[in-house]
Amino acid sequence: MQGLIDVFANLLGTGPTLSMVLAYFVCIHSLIGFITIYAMFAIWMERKVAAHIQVRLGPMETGGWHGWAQSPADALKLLFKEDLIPAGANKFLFWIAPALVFCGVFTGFIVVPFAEGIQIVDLELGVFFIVAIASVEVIGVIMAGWSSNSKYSLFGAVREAAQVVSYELPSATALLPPVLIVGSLTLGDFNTFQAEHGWLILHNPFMPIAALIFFISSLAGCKRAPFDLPEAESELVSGFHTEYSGMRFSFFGLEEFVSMFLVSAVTATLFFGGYTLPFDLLSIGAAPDVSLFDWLSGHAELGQVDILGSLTHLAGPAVFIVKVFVFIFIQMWLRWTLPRLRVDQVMVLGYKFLLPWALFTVVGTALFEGLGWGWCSHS
Amino acid sequence: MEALEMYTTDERSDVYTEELKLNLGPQHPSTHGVLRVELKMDGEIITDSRCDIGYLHRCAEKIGENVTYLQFTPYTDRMDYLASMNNNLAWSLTVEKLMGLEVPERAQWLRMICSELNRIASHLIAFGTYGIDIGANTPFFYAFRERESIMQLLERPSGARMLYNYIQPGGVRRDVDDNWIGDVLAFCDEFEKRWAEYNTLLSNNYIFIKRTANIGILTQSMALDYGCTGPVLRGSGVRWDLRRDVPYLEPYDEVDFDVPVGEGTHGALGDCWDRYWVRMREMMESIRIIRQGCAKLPGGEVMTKKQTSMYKSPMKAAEGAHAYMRCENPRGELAFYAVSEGGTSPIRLRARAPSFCNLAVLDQLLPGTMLGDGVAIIGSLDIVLGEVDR
Amino acid sequence: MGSVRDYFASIGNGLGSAVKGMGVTLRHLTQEDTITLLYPHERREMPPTYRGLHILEQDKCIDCGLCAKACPVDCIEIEAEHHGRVLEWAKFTIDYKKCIFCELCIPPCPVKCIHMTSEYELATDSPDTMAEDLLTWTGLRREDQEKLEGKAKPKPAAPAASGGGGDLQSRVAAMLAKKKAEKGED
Repeated sequence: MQGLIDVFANLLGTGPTLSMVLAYFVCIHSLIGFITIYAMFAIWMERKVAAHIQVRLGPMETGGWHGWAQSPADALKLLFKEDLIPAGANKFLFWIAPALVFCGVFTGFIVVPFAEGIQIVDLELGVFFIVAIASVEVIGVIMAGWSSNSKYSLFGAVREAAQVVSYELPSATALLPPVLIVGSLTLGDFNTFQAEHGWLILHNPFMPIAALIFFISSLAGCKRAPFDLPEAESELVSGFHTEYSGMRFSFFGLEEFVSMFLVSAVTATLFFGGYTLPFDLLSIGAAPDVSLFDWLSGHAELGQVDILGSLTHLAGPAVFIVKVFVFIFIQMWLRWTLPRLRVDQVMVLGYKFLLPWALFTVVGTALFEGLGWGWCSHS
Repeated sequence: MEALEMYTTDERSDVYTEELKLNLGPQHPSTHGVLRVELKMDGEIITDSRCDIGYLHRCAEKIGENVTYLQFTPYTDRMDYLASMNNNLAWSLTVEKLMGLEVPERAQWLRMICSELNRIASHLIAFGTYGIDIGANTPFFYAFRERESIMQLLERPSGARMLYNYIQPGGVRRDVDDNWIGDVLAFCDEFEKRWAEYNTLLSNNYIFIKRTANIGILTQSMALDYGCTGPVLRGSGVRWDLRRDVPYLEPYDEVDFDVPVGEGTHGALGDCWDRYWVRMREMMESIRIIRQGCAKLPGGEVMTKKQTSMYKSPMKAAEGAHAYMRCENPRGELAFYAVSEGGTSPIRLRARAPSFCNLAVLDQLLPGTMLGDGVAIIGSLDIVLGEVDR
Repeated sequence: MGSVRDYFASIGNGLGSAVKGMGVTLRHLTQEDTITLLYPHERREMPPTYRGLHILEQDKCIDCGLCAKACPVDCIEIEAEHHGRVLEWAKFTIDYKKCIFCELCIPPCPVKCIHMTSEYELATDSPDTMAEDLLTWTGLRREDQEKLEGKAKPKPAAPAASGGGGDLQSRVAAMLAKKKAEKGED
């Protein structure tokens, strides 16, 4: 980020504040652009994965090759739909709920590290920030369910409240073992640590359990099957977003896929090496000593720029996104395989199974770290 | 129908609570048709329920009084539209009893094979839609892939994919082509492999078992009191199957098959999982019957001579004749009662639909369960509103 | 102790059955075993017994009305004037808003002139065009007029009022011509 600010300061000759504003403006909007295009792609991918699992073909017509234009076509259609607000609905809450839900999830992206330095801001409280900000969407969902003036939506909202709030406990607890090992909450540090010491999931026998617990709890947080009670199609028609149509509805859909990305990104960063390859092959994602930004901002000559290093730096986001898509694929695969849990079974799973085992992994990891038994343990 | 009464304060606690009145249907993804169930809910728990039917009433019995016996056969297709062959069979048997028609042997065996194929098709829908009700969307598509094979098989003799109008009074409409038996046997081989897959994906899935075992326990006495038949009755442990106990087609006496009953495998006897598992095993028993039927299929005519003239001029039954015949449908016991006064149409036609009686237990099973369980119970009864409302 | 065993057994069962189920879906994901046909680019061949739209061999029809009587929903309307054995055709329509494609009109025909084809695409733009006219000509043809030489002056033949029954009937007529050509080849 500092590099980009310097670039703007140099190229445009603007003062420090203005170039900072410009830099943030460019970064945030490119992130929004990336998220939107990713969401459209993810919706197409979900439909294709679902179709092939279900022995059919999925979108094939729109746009020619395997219906790649289906998502943009759907987005365009949703833009033009009539905006219905149910009679008796609380207009303000109805209006603000999708915005709250989407912004809550999207804000978590500002700390996600795509490569060293390719991150909007590397907060020192990165992990804590993500866990906290993801719970803002719960308020949005409850608002959506309540303000719709429909009993089905209310059911969905109440189930959502119970489920997501309960699963935040094992989710956050299962993130503690990696934090214990690395010793910091900053997401960038996880990547550099795993580049040096290998993937955290292999560090000690409790890590796979912690990763699994985090993955399952995050499924519940994203309201994906087998925890899709809040939008249980066969029981509640559409749950909390029954009464939403058009662009408002698409916000909820986008939110689901965006939070899938966020959760997969956290899993990939904390457990599976983030933007680095195993054994830190080719130093993927690590920033070079002299980069293009240094040249553009006037700190170095063109000849001094480390071209190979810049290329591997820019390969970091590619590696990262591949890992994220592996997890997104697993989430889709699970959705189309497993039936749905009933609401009391969801609670039992969260409190009686996931939470005790998450605490067990925390205790176990602390023990292993204290005794120095981890693989390539941190001194 | 009176609405359910509501109460507004819970005298047991200091908190002012109100019961929620929720309408499940008539437009709902999982009521298997246009069924309205009025629920009184205390949070997630259903405290009372009332079924409201009649949304699909099409006056079939009244129409039967105004069309001839043969013309009524397509109307029977549309009652339980998923088990069309079986409905045609029940009606054809009633008319044959009324008029004293003899059915050729080949026609009887073809009737049995087609009925059993349709039983598999109907149970496949029950299996697939039950998966969707519980939340697993994939088994439905696998079930429909098999069902597509059956529909293509049954399309060849009858000409249609779902509403066959094939089994008519006096025999069957036309003979099958030469390759049909071979293709049916090939389908049987394919199906056995797929059945194992369904069990891995759904039946033995831990979440599915947790959702359906010990839910909606129907005791034997309640099932018998309400007149439940078919897998609903057999799931509660009563081994009663008309194909074995009151054989309405002679070929059923000449083939070997078991009658699966619920055994309380994963929970109490008579829960949803038992009914579901009875249907799954019945599919395999039907495959057995079809294989034996194909092996023993005799040659000959497929329609009585008397009937071929019935196509040209409607036949009349004797004055004062009446007949009641019952058949084992995939959903239970379908029966027709026809009373004749000598004309070309009956003066009274009564259809005893299995889903109607099976549905009656719903108001007893739902209270005390949660909403998700309610959906599971409705799915396990496997009703078709076409025959509930006729 | 039993409940502790149940606890661990349920973890094992849950994870095990989930993984096995995922194996089944993964197998289908990686196999190309779909039976989907990309309609309308690919179509399935219908069996010869398929119950689709009707077609009438008008020159064989003797206007006995048995098909109309056999229909359970009374969707066939026939009007023709009899001049001895020669028919002056006015109307033979099947109302496809009512037809249930049950095939009960086919067996009673004594001369086997009505058939059901394998044409199933009958969507039209408005309900008014759903009553399909099966006639290829109305009135009398030249050969019929010649037969009636000497009797009262009949009206000259005209092609069917709706121009052959519109797009649908022209398709069906083409199919009949094809069938005749095949029969001619045999």
